[in-house]
Amino acid sequence: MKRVFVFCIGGTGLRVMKSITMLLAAGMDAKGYTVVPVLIDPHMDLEEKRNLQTLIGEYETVYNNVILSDGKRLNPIHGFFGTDITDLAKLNGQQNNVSAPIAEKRSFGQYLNVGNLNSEDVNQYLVQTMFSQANLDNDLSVGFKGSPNVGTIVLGDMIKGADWFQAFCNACQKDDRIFIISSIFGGTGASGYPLLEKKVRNSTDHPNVKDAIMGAVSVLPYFSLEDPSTTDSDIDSANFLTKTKSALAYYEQSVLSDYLYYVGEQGMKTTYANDEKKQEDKAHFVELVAATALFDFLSKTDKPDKTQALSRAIKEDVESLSISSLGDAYNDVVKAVADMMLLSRLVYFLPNEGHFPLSKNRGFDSDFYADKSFVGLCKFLSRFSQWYQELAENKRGFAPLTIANRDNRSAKLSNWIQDFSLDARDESYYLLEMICASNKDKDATHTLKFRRFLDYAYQAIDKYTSKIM
Amino acid sequence: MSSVDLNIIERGLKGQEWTAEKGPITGGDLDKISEQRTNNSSALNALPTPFARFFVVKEAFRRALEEIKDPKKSAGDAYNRLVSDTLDVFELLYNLTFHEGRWDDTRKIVIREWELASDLKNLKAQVPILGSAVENYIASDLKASGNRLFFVVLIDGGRDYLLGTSSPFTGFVTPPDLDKKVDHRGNGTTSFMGKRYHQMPSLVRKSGGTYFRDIRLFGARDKDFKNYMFHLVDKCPLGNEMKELRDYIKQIQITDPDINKNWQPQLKPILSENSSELVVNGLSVGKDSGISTVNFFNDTLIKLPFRMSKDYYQPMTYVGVDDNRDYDFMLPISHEALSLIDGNFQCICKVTNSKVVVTLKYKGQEYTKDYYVDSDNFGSRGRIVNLERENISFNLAVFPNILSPNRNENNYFKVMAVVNDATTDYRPVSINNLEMSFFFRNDDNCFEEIETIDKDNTYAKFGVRPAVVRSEQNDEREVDAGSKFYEIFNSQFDAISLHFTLDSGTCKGVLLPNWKRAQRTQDSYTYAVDLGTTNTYISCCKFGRDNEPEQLNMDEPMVAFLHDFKRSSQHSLVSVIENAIAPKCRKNFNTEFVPALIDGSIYRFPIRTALCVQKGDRSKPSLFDNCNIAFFYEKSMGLGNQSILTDIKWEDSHEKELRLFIRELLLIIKTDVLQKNGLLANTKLIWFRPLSFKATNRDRYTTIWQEEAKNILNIGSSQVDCISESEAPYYYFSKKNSFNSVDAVSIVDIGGGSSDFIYFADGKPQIANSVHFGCDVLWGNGFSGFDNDRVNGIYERFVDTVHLGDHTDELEQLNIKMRSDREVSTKDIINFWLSNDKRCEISRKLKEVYKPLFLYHFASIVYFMAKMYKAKNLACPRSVLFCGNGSRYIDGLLSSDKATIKELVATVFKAVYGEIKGIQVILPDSRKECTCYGGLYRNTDVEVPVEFNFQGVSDKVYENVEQLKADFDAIRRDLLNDFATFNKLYANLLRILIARGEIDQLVDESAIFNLISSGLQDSLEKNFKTQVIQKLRDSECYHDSVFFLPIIDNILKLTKI
Repeated sequence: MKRVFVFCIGGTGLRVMKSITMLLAAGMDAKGYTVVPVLIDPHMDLEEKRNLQTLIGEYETVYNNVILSDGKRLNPIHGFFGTDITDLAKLNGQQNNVSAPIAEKRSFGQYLNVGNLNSEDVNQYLVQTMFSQANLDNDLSVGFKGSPNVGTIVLGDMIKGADWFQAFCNACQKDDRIFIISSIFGGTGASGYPLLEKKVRNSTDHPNVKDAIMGAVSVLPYFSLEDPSTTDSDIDSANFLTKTKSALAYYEQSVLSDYLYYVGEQGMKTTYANDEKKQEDKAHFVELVAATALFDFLSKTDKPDKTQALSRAIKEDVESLSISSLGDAYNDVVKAVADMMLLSRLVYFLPNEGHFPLSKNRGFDSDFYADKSFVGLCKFLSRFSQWYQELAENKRGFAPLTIANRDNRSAKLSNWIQDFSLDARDESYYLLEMICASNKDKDATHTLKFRRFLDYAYQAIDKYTSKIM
Repeated sequence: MSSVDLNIIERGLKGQEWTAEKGPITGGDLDKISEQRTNNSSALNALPTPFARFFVVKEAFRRALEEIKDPKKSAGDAYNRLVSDTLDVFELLYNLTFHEGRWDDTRKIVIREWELASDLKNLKAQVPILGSAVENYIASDLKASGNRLFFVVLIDGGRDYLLGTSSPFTGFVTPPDLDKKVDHRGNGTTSFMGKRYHQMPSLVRKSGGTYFRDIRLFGARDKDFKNYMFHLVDKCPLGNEMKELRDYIKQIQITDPDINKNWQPQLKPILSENSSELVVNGLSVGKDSGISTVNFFNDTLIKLPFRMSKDYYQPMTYVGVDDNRDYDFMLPISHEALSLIDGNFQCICKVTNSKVVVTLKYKGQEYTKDYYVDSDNFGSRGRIVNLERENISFNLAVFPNILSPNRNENNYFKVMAVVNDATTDYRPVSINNLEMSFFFRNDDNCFEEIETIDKDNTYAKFGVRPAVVRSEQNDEREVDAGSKFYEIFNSQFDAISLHFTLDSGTCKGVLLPNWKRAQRTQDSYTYAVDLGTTNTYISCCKFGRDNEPEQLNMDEPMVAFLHDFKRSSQHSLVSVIENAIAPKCRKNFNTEFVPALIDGSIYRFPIRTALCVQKGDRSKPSLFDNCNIAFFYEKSMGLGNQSILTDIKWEDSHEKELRLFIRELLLIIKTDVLQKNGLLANTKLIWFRPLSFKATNRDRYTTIWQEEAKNILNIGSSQVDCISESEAPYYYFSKKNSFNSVDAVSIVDIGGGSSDFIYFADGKPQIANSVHFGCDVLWGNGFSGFDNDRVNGIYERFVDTVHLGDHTDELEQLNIKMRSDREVSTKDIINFWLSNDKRCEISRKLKEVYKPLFLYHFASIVYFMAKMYKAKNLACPRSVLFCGNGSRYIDGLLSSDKATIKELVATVFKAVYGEIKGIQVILPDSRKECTCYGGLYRNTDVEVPVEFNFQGVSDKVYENVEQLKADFDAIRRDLLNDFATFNKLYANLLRILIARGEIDQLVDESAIFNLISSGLQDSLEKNFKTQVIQKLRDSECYHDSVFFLPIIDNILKLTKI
């Protein structure tokens, strides 16, 4: 199985990976690649990082519940959770998380050991020129606080001879790909991206790494932060653009990726709380678009002679995006999200549906709905719904769906996708299609009810939503 | 509707799918981005490189340029501060001379270097992670730095503050800790990001405002600086890396009328500690050396609580205050200005109620500074330092105050400064808080500082000797004030810069001496110096004139005191000058320096041959620094840290002090010559030696006189002459035609320590003799081996009853002090009483009791003289002239009746010679002076008298002690016989005095006779052993007479009658 190693650097990297995970769960096509996320962020205690790791873990649980049957490993199904997500440790047969060392508890100054510098040494002035005392005192467990000059040194040192990079090199095989996600205007991502690029391209001992097709998405400014003067934060979104311009000019001659995706936002920006310890920023459309870069990248078949820069647009400049304002190119994303939200609706009411034939035919009974596989799915879907809700409510909003009240069993579902008419007028259309799918299912190679459930559900939903493609 | 790019720039995508473009976003694309303003300095780092700071500052200039082009594109405070701070580094360096001229010694800018090869190695060794990162990035990011960085560092009070680092993009970058943060939740105050800068002093720009604290963009800066920066970026070959800086400056130039493309810089290179020129990527950063940027003024204006002497120091021109003011200001001209000013300038001082405005007019320009009483020196405001309010008494004096037209002769100047701090309990200021430096006008008429040269450095052509603190104020030890001396050698000086560290801070001021200048004439003078054991006298006469000689008197001061004084017909000039000195400083000047002038009254020759020296270590006597002529001796009290040295003439151990005594006399003579517009190089000098001087003594004196005369008067040894003390008076009185007969004239020169005899026959000296028997033997302690023995009967008799006033009187205090000071001899104390006879009437008391003693002394001299001449078969003298200060006791204490004296002499001569012709006894008014006067009129071709060492018994000459010892038995026998004769003669003389009513008839003649007759043999034998055999080697000549050995013992006995 070919793999794509997705390096997620900094907060933006984490958030984009969250979108990737959601899209993979929703059935976006990863072209058969196993996704291997590598999370690079020194934030020891960042909740967002833990949430992502939990989310990926839950994805893997669902995925495993679909493909593991009595000690056998089945092929992934088409549709929901159709792509394997794994991590470096598992690839190397390790139990421990090899990414742990990239988190750091010390202050930057302690990390460097600048106290070792002779007080009369002229290098003291060099240090003072490069770093503020606040830089040096900064606790690395909360990140680089928008200071890529700090990040580049710490990450550079962390990458140099790091276990996880070695694990990656060992795992990387011919035709595997590398994808790097970072922002250009922050601290961690902005510093980690060029370092990692260089590191990859300089891995002469590992030709599979060195010559791998490499893609990167560089997330440009797309949100604002609250006025830092009210929180004493060292991050000021007012100069995100200036920093981005500066960074882009700096990178101009040094991009080493084969495909470089840019995504950002010019005008429509939301404002987040300016607290780098939390970074509980809601999911954003730009992150979703950045996530789509991975799928575009995996669809590329050739390694270009020189860096190919790619960007994309939306059709209309509106505050809340629908399928029409997004433009047709987003239909696959809209479909995936719509599918997953429909699955969520099905999963919500099916356990209480008394007349669903498959409860007897396929054993989708109360025990099935109480089983950990289904519970795990529910949990994941709950996160998905929350994620979509955030996307829809953010600025600019990604809200192509009309989410009907799930307790209203008679709700019309033909306008589930705004500005688009689905033939399935209500829930019964989907249940009927699930029964049809069940009827067609002659596969006796496994006994995984859960696999069959997801498979039927996807076929049922896809029957109607594929119309938009 | 067209698509909306999900990007920060609009690239005109047609569809919404991922679309390949021509390439990554380029710098050219960035211009389309409109940015926000930001005021937050802590959030500017954008690049993943340790050198991000360099790019941030570069960005700042780009943003600032954008704002100039389109004011709507506000860069915001954060970037503007970076631009302002970077320009501050340039401006600070450009005005470095200006600033360093204003800063005290504890503050300066240094340029330190970072070299890739060596310093990166150190960094990697000590901080490996950072070292590796720097190594990885510097080649790509700071390629244009040439692998070298310069750090601009402010050193202040021992702390260092990095202000800037060279940048190949913008010239400099400031460290991030120098960025500012605004307290939005408080009162909006701005403070430095880094704590290390919180203690950094405010650095005020030349044009106002504070470096690194306020925002001042280029257009709002000082005109000169703008021209400099434009010149810098316009003329220096800059690469594209400096595009932002260059374009920013040039964009402003387009519309800024201040910037003149033809502006010509006056720059000096700035050097690093390693002597590298500060050139940053082709940008030659310099400092202004032009006069227009000179900081002409000090931050402080020192107010003196007295008027400054206009005669000796250039005052400012005052406006707005009447001439009756009782204060003056020192010139507040800065050290830097002094170094740069050439030609003339004028300082005008306008005094208003609130401030003092000082205007400097120089080369057609006017420069002004305002001074306020309570200013804290903030910004350009100056502070008035009122020494009176600071409780400081201060004065200084320069000696000599006159210049020779021959520059080579202006080779010695001494400056004395005195400081008293009247603050009680806690005294913050001492003499050590005052520093002075000296400037001379060089050939370009520019002030140039005279370097301090250590005494060990014999190669320096001229310089200032390291300052010497002579006294430190100590009330308990009765040292009124601190004093400090500076010596400037082989150069005059034209400005004095003073630096005080006071309780309120430091302050500086400048004094410009107004030298008196001697005119170039051909007038030449001869000076005769009679350096006696007890007294010293100087007289002089002009070449080619047959006038009476003069004693050395001056009409004008020889010292330039700082304070003004008003001449008065009612008071002597000296007292006017001295009384105008602050009381707490006065005694230091009076006792540690030369008098204001030798006025012939308060200070007059003869003076006591006495030096004022510091108590304690006297191993390195140095004129004024710790030793000077005690002009005040016997007149007023010294300071508690002083003692008086009187026996300098004869004591070998005091040779160094003797030299200093002579040096000070010659400096006074030099001043006198110049005041008379005399030709210094033609001066002749005569000094006198006692006949009893041993050869070694004579050689020592000759060396000292010739060396010192060469150094101070610039004259050769041919112009320095030495004659014997005793023959000199003859020539004076001969010139005056004072002798009735010149057939046989005897000159008897009685000094303090010795008496000299010369016999002239027909104007020619025949024999000369000197004995160590002066008048001081009357006040001394015989042959006591202890200098401070106090067994003299006169002392014992009067010590408790002689007073010179009540206990508050200074002279009485001096009397008490001398009595209590065990180092002071009875001789010095009794001489002190005699010097102040009007106060204590010691003469009257002595005359009442001690005429037999004085007679004995006088009789022994005359008897010895007569016996000597008789032994040499010389005719009995027809004229006997008594001179020397020691001879004053004859007519002062023995008898004021000249006929009585004449009878006494005649009686002795008859006793020795038998029948004699009428004799003439001369006791001239100018007793001491006549030696000097005679020296002036002695022809150089006269014969030198033959020295005859007369032992009292025969004409036998003893060439050495060995011969004397061999003959001693015979000498003793003859002398004892002779003493018997002499004692009888003395008894006769005593009766003459009684008969003439000079002595009370109640005197017990027999008791006195018995006293002087008893123990003669023992006395002779003992003293011969202790004073001759034990003190001299057999081979040495005994320049004295054993005759006086028992006489001296008898003298001591007679003091106890």
